[in-house]
Amino acid sequence: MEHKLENIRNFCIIAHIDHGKSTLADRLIETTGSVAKRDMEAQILDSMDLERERGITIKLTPVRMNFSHNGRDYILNLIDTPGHVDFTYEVSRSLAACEGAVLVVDASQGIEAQTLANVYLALENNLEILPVINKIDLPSARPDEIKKEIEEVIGLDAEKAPLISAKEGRNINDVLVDIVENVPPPVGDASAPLKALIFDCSYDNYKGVIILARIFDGEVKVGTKIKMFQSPNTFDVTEVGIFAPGLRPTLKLSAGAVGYICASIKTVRDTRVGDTITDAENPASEPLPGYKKILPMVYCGIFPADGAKYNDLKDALEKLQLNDASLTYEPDTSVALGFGFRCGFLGLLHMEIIQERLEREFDLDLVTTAPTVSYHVYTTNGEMKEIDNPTKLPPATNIQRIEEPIVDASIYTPPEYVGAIMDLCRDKRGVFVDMTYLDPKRVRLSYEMPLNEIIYDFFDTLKSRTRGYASFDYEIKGYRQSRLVKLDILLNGEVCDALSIIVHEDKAYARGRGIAEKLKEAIPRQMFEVPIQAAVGNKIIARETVKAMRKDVLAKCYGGDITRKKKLLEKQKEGKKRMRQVGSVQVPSEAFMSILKIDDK
Amino acid sequence: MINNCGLYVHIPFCLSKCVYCDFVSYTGRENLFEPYVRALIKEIKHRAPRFSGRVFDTVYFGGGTPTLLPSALTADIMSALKDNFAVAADAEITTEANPATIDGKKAEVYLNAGFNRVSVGMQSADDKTLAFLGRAHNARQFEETVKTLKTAGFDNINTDFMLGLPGQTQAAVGETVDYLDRLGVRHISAYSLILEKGTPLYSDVKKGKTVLPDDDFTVDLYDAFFSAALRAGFGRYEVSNFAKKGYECRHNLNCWKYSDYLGLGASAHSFFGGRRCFNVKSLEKYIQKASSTGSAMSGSRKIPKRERMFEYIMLSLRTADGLDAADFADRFGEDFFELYGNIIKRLVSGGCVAADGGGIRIREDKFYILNSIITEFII
Repeated sequence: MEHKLENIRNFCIIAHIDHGKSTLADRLIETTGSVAKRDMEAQILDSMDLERERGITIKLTPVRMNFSHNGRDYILNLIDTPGHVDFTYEVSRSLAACEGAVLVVDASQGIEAQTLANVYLALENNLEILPVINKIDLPSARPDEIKKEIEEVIGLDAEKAPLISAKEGRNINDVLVDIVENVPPPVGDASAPLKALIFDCSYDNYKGVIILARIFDGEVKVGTKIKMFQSPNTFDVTEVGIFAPGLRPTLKLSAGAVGYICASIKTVRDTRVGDTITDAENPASEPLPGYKKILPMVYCGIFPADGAKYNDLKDALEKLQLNDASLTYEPDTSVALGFGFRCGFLGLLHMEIIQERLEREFDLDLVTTAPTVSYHVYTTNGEMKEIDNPTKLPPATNIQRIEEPIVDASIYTPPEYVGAIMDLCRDKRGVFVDMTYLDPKRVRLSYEMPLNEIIYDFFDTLKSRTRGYASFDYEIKGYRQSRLVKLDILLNGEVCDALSIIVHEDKAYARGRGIAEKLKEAIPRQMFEVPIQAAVGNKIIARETVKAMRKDVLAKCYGGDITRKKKLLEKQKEGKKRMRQVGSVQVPSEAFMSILKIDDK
Repeated sequence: MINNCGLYVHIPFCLSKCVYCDFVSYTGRENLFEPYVRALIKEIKHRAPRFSGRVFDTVYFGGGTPTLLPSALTADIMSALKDNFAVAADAEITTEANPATIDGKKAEVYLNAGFNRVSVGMQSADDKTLAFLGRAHNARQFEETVKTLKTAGFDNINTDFMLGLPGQTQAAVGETVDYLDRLGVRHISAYSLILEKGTPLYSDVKKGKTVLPDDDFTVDLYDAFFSAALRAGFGRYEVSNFAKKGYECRHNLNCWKYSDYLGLGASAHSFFGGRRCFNVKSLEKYIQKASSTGSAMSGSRKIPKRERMFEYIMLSLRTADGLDAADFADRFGEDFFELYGNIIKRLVSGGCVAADGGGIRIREDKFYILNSIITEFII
């Protein structure tokens, strides 16, 4: 089935979390009859349980829809975009695969920070933006004001924006007509050498890597020998097809098309998002612009709660990485936690998602260490080391200076919370840059902030101090020298490596005290007194004590009680086995997690 | 030592059920006294042949409340035991007794039947606390009972004393010890109240209706008890048992030293030849089964050597004498110090146990955390 380029529309949907992106996508699919009604499961695009629960999109799933308008049949390719700051790069690549973007704006809440960031990304990619005002069924809807806001804030003409209710299925057809009439058709040359943009990939046990691609020039079919600009390997295409949704094989994919390509590729490392696919035998001279190697920003140690599950964890990480090239991991050992992995993530949400997927999809109990960033450590002999694990930090005497990653943070908030946010940013070592009134009800605060502070409880505190009204976005700016120290925790006089963190000198005391207090709650009383100390170098800066257990027995034990008593002790022993032995101290897994969130106050 | 052997007889009747109790006992079943005793005698006759040649040096009537039975029935059981088993002439023969279930006449019958030790369940010397526990007696009745027993000629008297009760104070605990000593009590079983699932007290505590002293304060109470007991001349010979010299309970010592014992009656447990077995719990079922065949056993299990070694450690470390490595070697053919060398080393350096070439014992101040120490030996 051959389609003319002018009958294809490639578009995505941009929306703030909760503004109804997935619901709108479902309605579009339903209205165009792309999925039989009985197969509709709410929010088709969000295929992972986790995505449905959190209302966020992690993995992209495109859908192809057929729509007739004024006697012509159109193909509409909806390319979904992940909805979180951690995945900005992926978003930009998905946008690059489209010619247009439907901007969903909540009829009562207006434009949110994150939406704005993505709108700018879409504008950078020269996308036609079609505003749609959703949730007009709500009593608080104020579509006219919102239209004005769109015009003022983004500079888009919102006069003819469809007013819809995705939830109730109202005016969905208007959106489809808007797409057909206003998103430009793709341009491309089907006879030119193949150029296809990888905007996502996933792994299938039978087909290998499934590449999600937008074909810009040329065509690809079964048997085409393909290569990627960022990988030396070539692969023979075994299957191409479209998303209907679900994989449906086709004969070929030509310029303008959005579809999938399989070529018995064993690892997603060969298929980097943003890379360009070309024909190995007739290669394009230049790749498509915009490829960026993405680097992890946040690291943490992940260990199996039960040491015997190390290989299970390894297998699980391998499987996840097949789907998610931005996850990095390497073997790590901790005296306290045994064998595990040091993992790198795009951001905090990414980290949480991976942890949750490991626990849910692979049924693993994990112990994770405090997240950390990657520091640039300059040693006295002139070397620069990238340190993403506090235990790897060289001794203080060998360190000339340490630089930490700094971000440009933008916080969008109603004006009444500006004071609270400024206090918070100051606490977090933020440097004020700018404050702009976007409109009388919205302020953008710009700060330069150490990423190290953001990964530690910033987002939760921001949400709680602004009752959830503020939103927040950041971008890596660079590295800056800072007075950083390693904070160690000693249990009964021995350093517990899994609890060490790198922290700003001025914060060491408060953090040390906070951690010691938390641990005191989390570590059960033992046969002897357990001092918990926080130390910077040799200097003890905080101390708590877990008092010795004074009693665990004073029951009778006569002839009839022996079996029961024995079982009780065996159970007690089982409990002990689940604990980590740190020197002479038994530490429950929860204790390692308890320090991840500490109220500084 | 290996040849020591005890007899246990379970009498599962009570006047009323205490709020903390999860033992097998029944109230309001006076009509079953006779059938039960007949069934018990049948079981005695049925099981005795397997134990011919073994001398029993202790007999223990526990419950329930054994003294609730008419004393003639108790005497019948006692003579059945003596007729069918080789009970040593100097055997220690104990009955548990609750205050208000025994009078001078009864005491005399017991004495004549051969009993020479009575364990009186006092639990508390305070009437309010006794009411809280659901005990069927008050403090005055306890005192009268002890005096009655003394007058009848019982010298070897134990009392059970509970620690960790609401409202208990260190001073009161000390006074109770002195009071018991003045009454001529020779042995005190002092243990902390243990919450057992399924008891009324358990649900009250879970619901927050009852607040028990925390572990730390219970230990303070125990410390108060301990020093008062020492002052009065009661030595600790087991975690929760204290006695004047020569009055240690031989029956229970046998159990802690891993000797064999034969349990008779509903729900009674036995241990002999490395095998543990237990009778049916239900009173009616016991009567029915034991009356027809003489056997009321509902289960039996040969304990594997590994487990037996652990049980041995678990029990012997309860005693002040501790574990005797030579006895361990006799029983299991293993070198205790070789098997558990690392564990022992760790515990010795942690100040938990004292070791000499002959064995190990828990240090006095570490008895409170005996469970944690023992679990170290589970490998």
